[in-house]
Amino acid sequence: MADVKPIIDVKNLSIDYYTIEGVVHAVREVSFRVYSRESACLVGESGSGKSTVGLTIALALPENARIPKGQVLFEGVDLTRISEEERVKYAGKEVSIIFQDPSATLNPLFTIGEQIQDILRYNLGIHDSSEAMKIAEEMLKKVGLPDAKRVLRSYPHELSGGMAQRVNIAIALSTKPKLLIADEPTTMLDVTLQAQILDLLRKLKEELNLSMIFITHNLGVAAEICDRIIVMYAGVILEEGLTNDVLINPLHPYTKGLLECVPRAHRKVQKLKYIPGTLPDLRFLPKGCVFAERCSDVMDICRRSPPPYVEVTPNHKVACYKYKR
Amino acid sequence: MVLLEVSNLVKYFPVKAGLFGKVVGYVRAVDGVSFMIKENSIMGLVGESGSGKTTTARCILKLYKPSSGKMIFEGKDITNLGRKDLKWYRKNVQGVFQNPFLSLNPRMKVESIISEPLKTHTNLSKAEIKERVNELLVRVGLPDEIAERYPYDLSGGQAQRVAIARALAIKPKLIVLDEPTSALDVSVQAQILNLLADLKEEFKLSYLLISHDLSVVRYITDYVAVMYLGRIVEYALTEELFSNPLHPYTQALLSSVPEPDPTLRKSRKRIILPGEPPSALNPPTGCKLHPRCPYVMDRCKREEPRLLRMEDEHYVRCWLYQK
Repeated sequence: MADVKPIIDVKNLSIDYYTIEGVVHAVREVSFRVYSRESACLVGESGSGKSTVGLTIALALPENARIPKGQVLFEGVDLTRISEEERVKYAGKEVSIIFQDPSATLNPLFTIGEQIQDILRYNLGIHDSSEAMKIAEEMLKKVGLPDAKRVLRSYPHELSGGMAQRVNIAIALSTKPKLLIADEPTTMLDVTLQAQILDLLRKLKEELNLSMIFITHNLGVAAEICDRIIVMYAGVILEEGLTNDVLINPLHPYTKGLLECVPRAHRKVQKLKYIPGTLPDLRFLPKGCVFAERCSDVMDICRRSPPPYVEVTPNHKVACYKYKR
Repeated sequence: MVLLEVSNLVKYFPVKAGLFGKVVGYVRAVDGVSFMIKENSIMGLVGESGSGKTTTARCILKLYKPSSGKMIFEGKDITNLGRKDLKWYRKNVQGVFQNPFLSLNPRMKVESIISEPLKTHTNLSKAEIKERVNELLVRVGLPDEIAERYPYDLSGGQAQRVAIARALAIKPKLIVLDEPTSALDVSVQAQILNLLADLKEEFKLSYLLISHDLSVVRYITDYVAVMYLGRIVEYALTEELFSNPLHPYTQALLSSVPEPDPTLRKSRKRIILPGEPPSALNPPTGCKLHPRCPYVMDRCKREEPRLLRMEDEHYVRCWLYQK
C-alpha cells in the first residue's frame, strides 16, 4: 500500500432507495478503506451497488436515497453527516467524479471553456476569466488534448466520445481533488480509446498524487488500473484483496464464476461457464448469503444466516462459509 | 457450401445541407466490402464505432439499400428483390439486435411477438402456433408463463432470449446478430453465447456476428473479418487471426483488450494507436489507417493496398506484406 493512512474509510454503510414499488436496500453494511495514492476498484454487475457507493462518497446521491446506517470518513470527516455549507468543501472539490456517458455530463448549451470557468469560479473562487481560461487550457493539455484552444471554444456535440471523456477528466481534476471516483469511465468507448483513457488515468494519478476509486463491471479493466479489487454483489462486499491475489486465486464462488464466464481475447476458451439464476430482489432480502441461490457450493448454513467476513490470507478477505476464521 | 456471398458492397449516405437539401458530401460507411458466409458456420465482423460493421449488417438484412455491389444468397441475386422474393428472403434471414427492449414491440405480449413471424410465413393453425411458441420458449430456456408477459416485465437476458426465439421461429438459415450481448451483464452474456452456440448446431444455422468485443468473437466465431473505416483490413480463420494478427490495426485492437489474467497480461505487447478514427465523410488518402499507424511508410499515404491473400485463407490489406 502506498501509504498507511486511509483517505476514505467506509464503515458499515447502508443505503436505501425509496421507490413507488417499495424500499430497495441497495447497499448493506459495506465497509472498506482506500488508502492515500491507492487505486481501488469496485467490481460487480448491474445492481451490485457499486455505483451507489461511488455516488455516496462523491456526495451525489439522488433525492430518494437515505443512509440509515454507517459512516463515510474522508480524512476523518464523516461525509454522511456534514451540513450543506460544508458539503461544498468536498463535493466536486476534494472528491471529484467522472461518469460513464461523457457527453451526458456536459451541458450542451455552453462551450467547454465556459463550463470549466464555472467550475473554477464556484469551487476555487477564480473570478478572473483570463486566468480561468489559462488554467482550463493547461488542464486540457494535461489530459491529452493538444488543440486545447479550439476545444475550449467547442460545444459538447462537436467533440467525439473519447475527447468528451478527456474533457470530463480535465473538469474533474481542475479543482485539484485528492480523490477521483471513476464510474465506468471507459464503458462507452471503443477498445482502442479505452486503452488511451486508462493510460491517461494511470499517468495523471501518479502526476497529481491522486487516490482513485474505479468502478467497473469489467475484470480486465480492473486488472489494468487497480492495486486492489473489491467485489460487490447485490449490495454487499463478497471479496477484497490485492488485484493479483483476487484474479489468480479468487476465493468467493461468485468471483470464480465471474472470471470463468468472461470470454477471452487472449486465449482460447472451449466452453464458457455461466452463473445460473439472477440477482435477488433487493426489496426482500434473503436471510442468508445473498449469493446462495446461485452458488454451486451452497451449504445449509448459507441459507440460514449471512456469512462472516474473514481474512483468509493477509489483506485477502472473503464473505463465505467455505473459509473458516 | 456458400450460403451468402457479398461482393464489393458499398453504402454511401448523402450529407445534405442548405435550404434545398443540396448534397454536399457522402459518408462512406461501407466502401467495397466482400466476404462469404458458409453453411452452418459463424462469421464475425469486428471493428470500432464508425467502421461500417452495422451498416453492412443492415444491408444484408435488407434494411438499407446498398449504393452498389452484389449480394448472392443460395445462388440467388438478392441485391434488388421484389415483394414476393423479399418475403422468401426474410424467411431465410433473420436478425437479433443489441437492445432487445427496442427490438421487441412494447405493446405486444411475448406470445404475440414470437407468433408474428409464424403467422406471416407459415399456414399453421392457432393451436399449432401456440404449441410452437411454447416449444421455442423452452428451447431458449424460458419458462412458459413468460408468454403472457410484456417486454418491460422481462430482464435484459430474458428479453434477448425472446428476440432469439422470434428469429428462430421460422427456421431461418442465417441469423444476423448485431452486438447481441453488448447490453448484458457478463454472467448473462455467457448464457446467451452458449445458447447461440447450441442452437447453431441443433438447427444447422449460420450466423453473421457483428461485435466490437474481440473476446466474444474469439469465443464463438469460425472466421473473422476486421473492419476499419468501411473496409475489411484483415480476414482469416478465427484462431489464425487471434494467434497471428498481421494488420497493425488488428494488432492494436487485440492489444487494447484488457486482460484479467496477470500472466497473460505480462506477455502481451501493448500497441496504443494515437488519436481517433477519422471521419468517414472525409477519409484519409491511401491506407485509411496511415495517420494512426505505427509502421507508416511513404507509400501508405499515397496508395491504398489491396486485400492480399497471404496463406490459406488469411487476407490482409497492408503494404508491409506486399511489394
